[in-house]
Amino acid sequence: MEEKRKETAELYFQYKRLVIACEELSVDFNAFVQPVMELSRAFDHLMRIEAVDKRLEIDYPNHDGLDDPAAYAYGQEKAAHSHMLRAFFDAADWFSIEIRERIITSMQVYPYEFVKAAFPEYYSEVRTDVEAINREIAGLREKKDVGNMPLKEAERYVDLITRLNNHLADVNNRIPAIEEAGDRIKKDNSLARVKKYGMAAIIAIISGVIGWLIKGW
Amino acid sequence: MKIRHDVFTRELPVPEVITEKTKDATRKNALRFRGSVRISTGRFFTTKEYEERRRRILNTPLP
Repeated sequence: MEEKRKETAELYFQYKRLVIACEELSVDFNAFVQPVMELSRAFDHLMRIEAVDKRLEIDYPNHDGLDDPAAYAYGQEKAAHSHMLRAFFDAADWFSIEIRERIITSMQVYPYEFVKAAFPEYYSEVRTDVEAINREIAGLREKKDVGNMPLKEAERYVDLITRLNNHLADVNNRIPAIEEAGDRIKKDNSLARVKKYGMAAIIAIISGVIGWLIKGW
Repeated sequence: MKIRHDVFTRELPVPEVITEKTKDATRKNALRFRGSVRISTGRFFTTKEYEERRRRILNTPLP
């Protein structure tokens, strides 16, 4: 029972961390209240445990398993834990969506050659990993038995989310380098254009002069 | 203070689905609400909006 309560508290603080980060990330500053509903349900179960533990006076205490307070409290503890897991996974899903949208918004304005020049790992590592993490988190949220998942699984998702967050930080850090590479490429391209047209113009002038000279002879 | 048995054992009535009606009700009661400003001003996703947005973002290929 103590172990379950410890896990519930750990999950709550992971959930809280995600929700704080999500509200800062959200492009349109909207909140997602579905996990809050799960928290309310978890709170209801925790209060029932407190009531039994503190021996509050309940009408008809011998109904619905209340005649065995320890077993009743354990059942409620499991239910609270299960709602907390759902809240955590809803928040994890929300976070992964917000990160993905941020990456799309940041990267879609730059052509392939700019990114390739300044941030080649984006195509070889970052993009592939973000896709894999998004798929894994989304798939997990759709599982019906998410509330019965062991904490170890939730810990794995904390790692996935940390990885996702690191990718976003990496993308944000590389934006100045991508812009710099873009400027360089544009400059090189215009220089190449000037060289190409300049050469054509010189050839035309020389041809004209030679033509004029031949005609003059 | 005795706790009523039917209150004690009943599930807490929280909405399963967040709809536009939920948003309207929250906005109407904004003055009496002391929590998050975002929530009291209706700046939250309905279940449908969230699922649609989620699907759109997950289906958008990374550039």
